[in-house]
Amino acid sequence: MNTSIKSIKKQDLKDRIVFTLFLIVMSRLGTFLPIPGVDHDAFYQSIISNPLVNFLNVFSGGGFASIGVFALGIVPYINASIIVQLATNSIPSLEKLQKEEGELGRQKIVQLTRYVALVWALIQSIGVSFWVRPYVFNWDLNFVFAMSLTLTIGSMLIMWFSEQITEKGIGNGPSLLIFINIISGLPKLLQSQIQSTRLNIQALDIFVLVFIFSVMIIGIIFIQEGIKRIPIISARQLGKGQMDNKTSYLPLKLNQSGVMPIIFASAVLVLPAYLAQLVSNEQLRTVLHLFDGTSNNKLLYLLFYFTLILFFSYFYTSLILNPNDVSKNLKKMESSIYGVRPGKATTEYLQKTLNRLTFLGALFLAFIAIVPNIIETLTNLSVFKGLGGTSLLIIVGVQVDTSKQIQTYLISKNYETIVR
Amino acid sequence: MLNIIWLITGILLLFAIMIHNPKSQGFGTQNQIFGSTRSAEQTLNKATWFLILLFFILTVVLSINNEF
Repeated sequence: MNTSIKSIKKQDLKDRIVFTLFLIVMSRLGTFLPIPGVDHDAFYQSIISNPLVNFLNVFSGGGFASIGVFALGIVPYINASIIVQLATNSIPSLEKLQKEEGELGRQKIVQLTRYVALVWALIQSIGVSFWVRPYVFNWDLNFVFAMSLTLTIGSMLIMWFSEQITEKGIGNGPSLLIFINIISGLPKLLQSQIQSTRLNIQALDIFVLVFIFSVMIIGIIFIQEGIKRIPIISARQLGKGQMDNKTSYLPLKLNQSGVMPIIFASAVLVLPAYLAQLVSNEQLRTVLHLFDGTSNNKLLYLLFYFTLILFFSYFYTSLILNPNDVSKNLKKMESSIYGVRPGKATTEYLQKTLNRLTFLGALFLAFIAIVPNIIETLTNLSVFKGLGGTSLLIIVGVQVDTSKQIQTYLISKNYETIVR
Repeated sequence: MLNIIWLITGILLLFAIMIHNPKSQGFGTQNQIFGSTRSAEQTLNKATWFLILLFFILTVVLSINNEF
């Protein structure tokens, strides 16, 4: 009996992993499915050194440079998420939907995000079909319509794949797809770095790089796993006189929002690069380049990035964890935080603790994200150019998140079998 | 002729994706492991997969013939 339950459990997990892998393969396939009518070689040669395209390629796994069906990738969905979540905090009716209407309200918010993503994808794809005009064999309104439709469908398909992975597969779909896209660019990056540094690479350089990468990975895992344990005491414990028994605690993560602040900050960072392509004024373009990381003076860019990570960390934490709800739930369970009165005092205590934790976590996250830039400036080692702190944070963060979800899944299945 | 089939498939696919009823996890929040799948959702899923396959095949054929 026990063996059969175990085998069902293993089979279920295997099915989820296989399904996830299948969708990942599909998403990669669509990236290389070329859009008809475009001179792909000429287009690739012209945009190979474009910083904006390089940045978008990180999120679309090279799809943007090759103008594949999935060229827009998950970017419209990320942008739609940012817009809707910012709107949720400023529009009362949306806030009510998010906070007071439970599962159904949240479902409506997700559906709204999907519609915004559709509109965003449509606008972006129309822009792209005008942008590729010099490389199209027969550019006319028919082509604009067909290409816009193809790119929009591609982006919506990626969105659906990501939803399917979250729902029926393993891990968080959108982050996992971004993770795969970053990983897929690694062999090419390594090849180009080896070719460019073959003549003057030294043993000390390799040692410094391996050391920095290891420290960064350890640092990322440290913030992902870090929790503050707030001891709680229940009415039952008080009744039994077990005041000193501090085995129950409320775990508050150092970094509640995972890699989301990094992904959101990166998406916003594309804006100055994108605007710089559109404006013709040389001075304005120089100013915009100060914010997109392509200028020699990276100070403003790093400051901008740092501020964005801090902002999105606070913003996302406020969406995920509501101290008022936690306080109410503790009261319902007849429990309270050790030394803090239930109700308003608990809410205030939790808010204060959460603010401090988020600040510390975000500071660490922002520091790790900009460390490669600082090292690069100090040592002149160019290996970090392709794989920046952003990519490394996403890679390690998503890996830790996914393995934790697999563990949680297995534990929850174990509980199910115990209950049976 | 192939263009028209491709166009209809694309629009139907877009429609199928948008009428899917998403679970409330959205972007970045934890996934919900225990959930019930309704039969309507299953049929819609099958139709979506069929349309994806057809859309991919038609795009490849159109790409080979270089006609849009």
